This record gives sequence, structure tokens and C-alpha cells, in this order.
Amino acid sequence: MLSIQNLHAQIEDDQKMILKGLNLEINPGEVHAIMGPNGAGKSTLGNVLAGKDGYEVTEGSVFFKGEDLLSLEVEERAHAGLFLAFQYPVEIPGVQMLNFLRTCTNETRIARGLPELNGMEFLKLARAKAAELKINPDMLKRSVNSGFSGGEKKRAEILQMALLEPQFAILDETDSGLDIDALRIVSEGVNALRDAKRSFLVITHYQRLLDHIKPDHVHVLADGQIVRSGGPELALELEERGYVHYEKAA
Amino acid sequence: MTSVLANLRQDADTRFASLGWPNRRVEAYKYTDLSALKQADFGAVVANKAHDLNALNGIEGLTLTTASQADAEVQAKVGSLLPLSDAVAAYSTAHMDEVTVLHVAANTKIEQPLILDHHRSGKNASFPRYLVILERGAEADLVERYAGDSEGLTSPVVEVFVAAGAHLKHYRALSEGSATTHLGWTATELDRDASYRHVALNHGAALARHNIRVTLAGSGAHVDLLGLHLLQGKQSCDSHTFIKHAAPHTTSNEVYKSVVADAANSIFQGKIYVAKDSQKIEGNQMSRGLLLGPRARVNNKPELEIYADDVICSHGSTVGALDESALFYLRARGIPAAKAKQLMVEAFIKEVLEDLDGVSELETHWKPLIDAYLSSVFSSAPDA
Amino acid sequence: MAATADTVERVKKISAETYKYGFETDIEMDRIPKGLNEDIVRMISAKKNEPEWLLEWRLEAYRRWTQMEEPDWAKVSFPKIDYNDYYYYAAPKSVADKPKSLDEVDPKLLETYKRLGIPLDEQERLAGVAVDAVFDSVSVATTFKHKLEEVSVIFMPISEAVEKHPELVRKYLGTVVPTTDNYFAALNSAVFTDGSFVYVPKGVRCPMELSTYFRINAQETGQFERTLIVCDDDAYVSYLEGCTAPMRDENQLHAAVVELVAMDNSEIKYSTVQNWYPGDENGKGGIYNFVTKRAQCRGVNSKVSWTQVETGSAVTWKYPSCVLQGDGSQGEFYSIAITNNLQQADTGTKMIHVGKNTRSRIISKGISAGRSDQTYRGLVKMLPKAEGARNFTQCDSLLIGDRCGAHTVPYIEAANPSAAVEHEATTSKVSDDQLFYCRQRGMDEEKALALIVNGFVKEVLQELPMEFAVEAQALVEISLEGSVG
Repeated sequence: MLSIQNLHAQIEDDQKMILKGLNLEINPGEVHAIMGPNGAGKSTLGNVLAGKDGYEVTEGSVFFKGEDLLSLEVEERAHAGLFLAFQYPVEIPGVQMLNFLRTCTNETRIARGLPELNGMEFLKLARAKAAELKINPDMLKRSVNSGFSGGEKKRAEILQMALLEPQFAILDETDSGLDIDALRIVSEGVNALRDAKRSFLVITHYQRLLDHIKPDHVHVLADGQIVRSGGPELALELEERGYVHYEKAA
Repeated sequence: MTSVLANLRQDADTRFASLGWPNRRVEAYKYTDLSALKQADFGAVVANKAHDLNALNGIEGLTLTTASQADAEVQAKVGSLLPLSDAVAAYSTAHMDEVTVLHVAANTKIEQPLILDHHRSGKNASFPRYLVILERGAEADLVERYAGDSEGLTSPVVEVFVAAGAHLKHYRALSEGSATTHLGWTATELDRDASYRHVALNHGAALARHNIRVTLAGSGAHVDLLGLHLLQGKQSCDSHTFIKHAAPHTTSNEVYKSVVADAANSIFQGKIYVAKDSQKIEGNQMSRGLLLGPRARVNNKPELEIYADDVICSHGSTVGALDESALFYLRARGIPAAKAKQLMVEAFIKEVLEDLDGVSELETHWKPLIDAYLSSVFSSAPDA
Repeated sequence: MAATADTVERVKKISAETYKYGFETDIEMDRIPKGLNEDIVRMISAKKNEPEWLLEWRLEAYRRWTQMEEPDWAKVSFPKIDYNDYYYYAAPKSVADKPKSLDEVDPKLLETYKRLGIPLDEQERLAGVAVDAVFDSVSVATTFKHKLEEVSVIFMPISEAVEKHPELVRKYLGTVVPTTDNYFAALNSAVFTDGSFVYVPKGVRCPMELSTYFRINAQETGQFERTLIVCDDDAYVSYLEGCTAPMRDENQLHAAVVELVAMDNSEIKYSTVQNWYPGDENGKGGIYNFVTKRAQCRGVNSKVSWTQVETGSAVTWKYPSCVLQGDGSQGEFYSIAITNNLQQADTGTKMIHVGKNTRSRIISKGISAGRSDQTYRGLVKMLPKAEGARNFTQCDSLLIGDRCGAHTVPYIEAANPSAAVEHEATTSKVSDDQLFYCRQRGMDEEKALALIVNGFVKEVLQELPMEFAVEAQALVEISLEGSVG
């Protein structure tokens, strides 16, 4: 599904190298967790995979379903089935959530050769998905993320994921700023979308999210490289021992 | 006077002859009509220097000289930041006598403030003229004071060059008497990573106009312009500021507050200008007016002129009276009305002075002026 | 950044093809000779069978105009206008016979308006909207006249009103915008041709939207519309104007005057969708739109709202204003202005608070793209007697590309200590984070930009009457086409 080889990436402005030879293989249906200390490059990895401006890949390659991911535009990556749940979802004042979601969904459907959904069809679909995720349908009438609480923003991200049905989703610190109830609801949403064909990359600083979203593999990212990989037990070990050991290494 | 300065003076004289004193039809003087000055008699030209300049002699790192004695490079700076298209700039330059130069050596930090104190009485006109140069990495505090009860004109010009990485704090207090006309200019240019903080207290003079022009000419430069108008009687005070972001990655912050009692008139005109290709700019401005007197007036014209797209610029401007509900709250707690109002005005002006605690000029010189203003305004205010 | 630069590139390439109203109607015209002098003024007046007082009024305005100078304070520049190089009167020949009903209107004219999306005939016309169609110098048709007569609302071309209701026209004409108010108002007063007259009598709530559609068609012709709307005590009317013109290399002049009078407890809602031809991508051609619009809230608790969507014209000079005389009266100004290519717009409003407890609210959203220049210019004035008056102003400017300019020039003049003025303004570009977010969700950059811009102008769009909000939203997108869907 996703194959990252020797990925080096730096920030364009100051040429500071963040990813320094990262390797990762993710197969269909797998859930991988990336953990690591602050500043290890976790969010950079998500941004580089999604194609955000401001980063420069200096070395290495990323193949997504056999295709050269790095040569695609941001929206082409989205159409190919890559979804990034943002750590800080962006507010867009004046743009109604429903209109935003419908535009996203239809643009993706067009790219995938599917017919567009009309207003009524989409409203029905959005309401059904919102209900599944226990999201108050009133949220659909509000401006995108504007004035949303932290929990609402993260739930809205999961709603978008449910509508766009990606094959590969990156959850960037989705647990940050959530209380236990919100964390459970968000995790249930993610778990509901797990299947044999869909893969996840869960980026997190804390182990608690992994109590709710059980990963198949856990990796430790430190100083731009994956320094250790293992099963779910690795997360527990990290919770106990912290990242001190890795920060020193870095 | 050297020929360079004499030529500048002549040039300014010619410019003023064609400009004349501006009336309201000249946009920059829309709220300050100077056309009546045509008939004004300011008396003889006197005392173009601060009266205690000698105190600056012997400060380490500071060279105190005159433009005539300075080298050609320094002479060329005189008038170079001043637009002679402005009538006040032209008039003052036309009457310029000698230019006092304060030159701070590179990488020198001068601890004691450089004080330019002006105190005049009688019917006369004065045109103090300074050139302040901070070389690379220098740091200094500049203090400018205008006081006295002259019935004439004070028209000072201060040009300031802040070189790369240098930092200047500039405190300017105007507390001249109610018969003085004050027409001043401050023009500053900042090089790379330089910073400049200008804090102005406008408390005196019958008619005051202060032009400030700051050019952010090097990347990383930052300016703070802070100002207070504390007006009463029939005073009219106009602060006219212009911040030019002429280089990328420059930032500016401006706050002006006016307290206007009796039938006074406060004018603030402030423009933030972002030149083409000056990207990554942040410029914020706030002007607030507080009307205390029944015939008090505030005229504000904040302005944004922007020719680059990667900018975050804003301005805000408010005019109004003291908040009635806050006033009521204070009085309900037993504070007499006049005292309550005074407390609220103090809170209103605090924002400008907030992070200036410990600046000795403010403690020793400004605070008494501010207190005197407040007590004069609130002792005469009816207790209602 | 690469992607954004790409968008900017596409904005620049916006071609005139996107201006879908640029066609020309081939129709036989009746014109008076080119140029401007007293004889021309007399000819226009004669064409309209005007009474002597109106001719004198025009001539006086003309004489004053010749002594005035074109204003130069706005932030716009254009070659000197040769006022003698325009035709000041052009009307389709077929209109000279004064068609009595729509059946008699020249089919070519009906076809023109149909193409513009304003069908005039019984079957297709917009439900709930009465339309006055002005073609160059004359009104060619007015719909729903009878239905409005039933409720005593007068809605007709102003030249017809001069004949049928001279006492009303004479009572109000020029009382809000005096003939010598400014250069363009004086010019308009001398040579105005058509526009609409609306009178809503006491206590009447006008049952439908009133709308005038202005079309410039003839070459080298100026259009000088004059609109006068009077809302008597306790009355209400909502009025909308639309404007388009063919694509031509020449610059054509449109100098309008609009006067609104609101009496006690009345309300006038005035909306404009201005889509004059903006010129091509090199700044060739386009309309000069020099307009004076002013409302007097004469009555207590009266209210006037101006809503404008300004996307067209090569040069715009326009400040719809409110004089808030009546105690408790309210003025509102909602504006979206979009400039692209080499367009220039200097627009804003004036709120003059005269009476006690008057209120005003200004929401302005400006978008500059291409090499255009846009200025918001506004005045909020609190006069000494404006006890307890309030104003709130919010001006936001959005820049698309690094070759355009956005300027904000508010004047705040307060002379009453109990009045409160609050002004906020921001200028920035579309946020990279917002663009990235939308694109990550599958939108291409054009769609993303369109969506974000629509969000930016939403607050103003929702002030438009329902019938036109959708059209205006589409227009916002078209105006930035090349970058936005």
C-alpha cells in the first residue's frame, strides 16, 4: 500500500533537515502507530506525505499503491485515497460545513469516475454518517471548524474521513486536546472504518490513543528516523519508560 | 554653514514659497488648517538648540558635533529623510540654522539618556534641528522635551538613522504653553534588524502638529509608535504618522490614545504603507479617542496602503465616551464620580505606557505632566 | 508556494471570454449629435417633452458643471476624458413610438434582456420582481405596472414620472444630491436620460421586489441614469439594480445619480449588482462608473440599507451614503468589491449622523487580484447633536497575487461625546493553511479558492434579496475565473 524508502526532507525556508532517511512499509488493512518525542519529525512526515508546501524532499521515494506519490499534487494524492486528519483543523469562516463536505466528496468522486451526488442525496448521506459518528447534524450548518471546540474539530475530521472513504489515512495527533469521552467517540469512528483494505498511520505522542485504536505495528521516530519497531507492547514500554532514551540518542 | 546646508535651506525656502501654509484642501492637513499662519507674527528667530547640550559632552561612545563640522557623509544625511513637499518640513528647513549631530559609535550601549531639553518663553520662533545616528549594533535612549510659555512658534526637526542591529528608544514630550504653536517633524530610517520605539506625549501647545515618518528599510526591522494626546481648553493636536514597510520581514506596531476634554480637538492620521515586493509584513495599528468635553472632537484617519500580498495588516479605531456601566459600578462601590472618571482615564492611557515601567524619563518628567492634566480636567468637572 | 503562484498566473490570464454579457444588440438607434453644450441639453429635454422648469434645472446644472473641475482625490487614474466625444442620447428607434404594452416592444429588445437573464414577457418574467428595463438613454419596458398600481406604488421610468407625477418629482429631485454636489452629479443633472422613479405611499409595504436593469448598448455613448426613490411614512420597498454592457475597446462613461428619501418609520433596501464590462486583460475598454448615491433618512426611525456587489467597470468611483437626520434612523452599507486585471475601484460609503440615537453599520469586503487596485474610502461623521449615535465598521481586504493593491482609507469625525464609533480593518492574502486543507480534501486550487472567497464575502451576500443572492454568488466566482471555478 505505502512504501517509504530512505526519505529525507527539509524545511524549505531554513533548509533544516527534519526527516533523515526514514523507511516504512504499510500493507493493506494494517494499522501502524508512529510515536516519538516532540520535534522528532512526526508531523512533518504527515505533511510531506500529504504534499504540504514548505517542505523539500531531498532524497528517497514514496510509493502509494505502486504510484510515485511525491510527483502528485496535493489534491491528486487525496483523490488517490490518501487522507490526513489534521492536528489543528483549519477554520474557514463563512463556508458552510455541508457545502464544504459536498464539494470535497464530489471532487473526489469526479476524480474517481463516479457520478456527483446532488444536494438531497448528499444531505442524506452526510446526515447518516454524522449519526453513525454521534455528531450533532447542526454542525453541518456551521462554518468549517469555526468556533468548534477541540472535540468537535476532531470529530469533524473523522466525519470527513468517513465521507471520503480513503484507502490510507494519517491521523496526526488526533488525540491532542481531547477528553476521555471525545477520545472514545473519535476512536470508535476510526475503528468503524477499519477493514482489510484500509490502512492507517496513527501519529501520537501518548500511548492512551492506542488503548482505543489497537495498532498492528508500533514505530519509534527520533531525530528523523525510525529507530525501533515492534508490536503493540512497544507502546506500553514507551509509556513506562518515556522517550528520554531516544531523545539522548537524538 | 556649509554650502550643502545652505543649499538645502535655499531649496526649502523656494519650496515653501510655492507651497504656502496648507489649508484644509490639502489632504494631509484636512483637519489642521494652517492657512491662518500666513498672518501670524512669531517674532524673532532664537535659540535653535536645546539649552543643556553641554551635559552630553564627554559621554563615552557619543560624538556631539554640528553638521558643519561633520564630514560630507554625515552632511548628506541632513534633510534626506524629510519630504520637502510637506509645508512644515519645508518651512522649518528654510529657517534651519545649525544642525546638532548626535553620533553613537558602533556596538556601544549608552546607559544615560541623551536629553534634548527645550524651554522657551517670550514671543519668538525656534527651529531646533538634530541628526541622530546610531551606528551598527549601538543602543541608546533619546529624550526630547518641549516646554515653556512662548507665544511664538517651535518647529523642531529630528532625523534619526538606526543602523543594522541598533536599537533606539525615543521619548518625546510636548508640554508647551497654551499660546505656543508647535510644528514638529521626526523622520527615522531603520536598517536591517534595527528597532525603534517612539513614545510621544502631546500635552501642550495651542496648536500642535507632529509628523512622524518611519521607513523600515532593512529586513527584520521593527518599529513601535506609541502616542498620547492629553488635551483640554481649545487645544488642537494632530499626530500624523507614516510607516513605510520598504523591506520584507518587517513589523510595526502603533497605538495612539487621545483624551479630549473641554472643546479640544484631537487628530490622528496614521498610514501603514507596504511597498511592492515587501512580503512577509506584519503591521498593526490602533487609535482610540475618549471624548470628555461637551464640545470635544476627535478626527481619526487610519489608513492602509498595500502593494504586496503576503501581509497581515490591520487597524482599528474607536471614539466614544467613558463606559457608563463601568462608571456606575465604581460609584456604587463608593468612589466619587470625578475620581471614578479619573481612574478610568488612567486605565485608558495605561496601554500606551504599560511596558515603560522603570523608564526614568516617564517617572520624573511625564508623570507629573499627566497627573497635572488629570487633576485639572477632573477638578473642574462637575460631580455628576 | 509553487501552487499559489500557479493560481496567480491563472488569475492573470482571465480572459474577456468570461464576461458573458459582452454581446451587442444590432438595432436601429435614434441619436442626437455628439458633444456637450447647452443645445445638447435642450435637445435631450425636448426628446423627453420636459416642462420648462426641468429644462432650466438642467441648464443651470450644465452651467455650473462647466465651472467645476473633475475630482482628483480618488486613488484611480485614467486618461483625460473628452466629454465632447460622447453621444449623450441614444435610444432604439422603435421606442420612440412609445409601446403601450410589452406586446408592442421590439422583439430584439426583448431578446436582449432574455439573454441577460431578465425575461420581460408575461410567461417567463421573474415572479415577484417588477422590472424596469433601461436601454442606453431610455426605458424600454416596465413589468407588473398594474399590479403595483393596485397598491398605489408608483414604479416607472423617471421621464414618464416627470409627465405623470410632476409634483412628486419636482418636490424631491435634487434635494438629496444637489445639482452642484460634485462634478459628476452636476454632469448627470444636466444630461440625465432615464432611470427609475419609485414612490411608496404611506403605510404601504411594496409587495414585490422592484428592479431596474441598466444596459449600455450603443457605441461611444454615455449613460446617465437618474433614480429617485421616495418611501413615505411607514412604507417599505426593496429595490435592485443590475448593469451590463457590451465588450468594446473604447471606454464608456456611466455617471449616475441615485437619490433615496426615507420618511418616518419607513425602510428602503437598495441592492446593486454592478457588472459593467470591466475591460480586457490588458485594461483596454470597459466602463467608467462614476456614481453618486445618497440616501436621506429624513424620518424618525427610518432605515436605508445599501448592498452592493461590484465586480465590473474599468474604473469605479462610488460612495453610497446615508444622511441620518431622523432621530433613531439607521443606515447600513454592505459591500463586496472585486477587482481583477487592470480594474480600479475607489468605493465605500459615508454615514453622516445628524439625529439622536442614529445607528450605522458598514461591512466591506474587498478582493483584489491581477494588477488591479482597490480602495475602500469611508466617512463616519458624528455631528454635535448626534446624541447616543453608534457606528460599527468592518473592512476586510483580500489580496490574490503580488501585483495588486488594496487600500483602506476611513475618516472618522466625532463631535459628540456620547456618540461611539468603532472601526476595524484587516488586509491579508488567502491563507496557505486554508488552501492546503481544502486541497487535502480533494479540491483543486481553483475550487478551494472559490470556496474560501465565497466564505469571505458571505456576510454581505446574505444581505441580498433571495432572488439575486444565487446570481451574485455566481458572479463573484466568475469575476475571479481562471483561478476560481
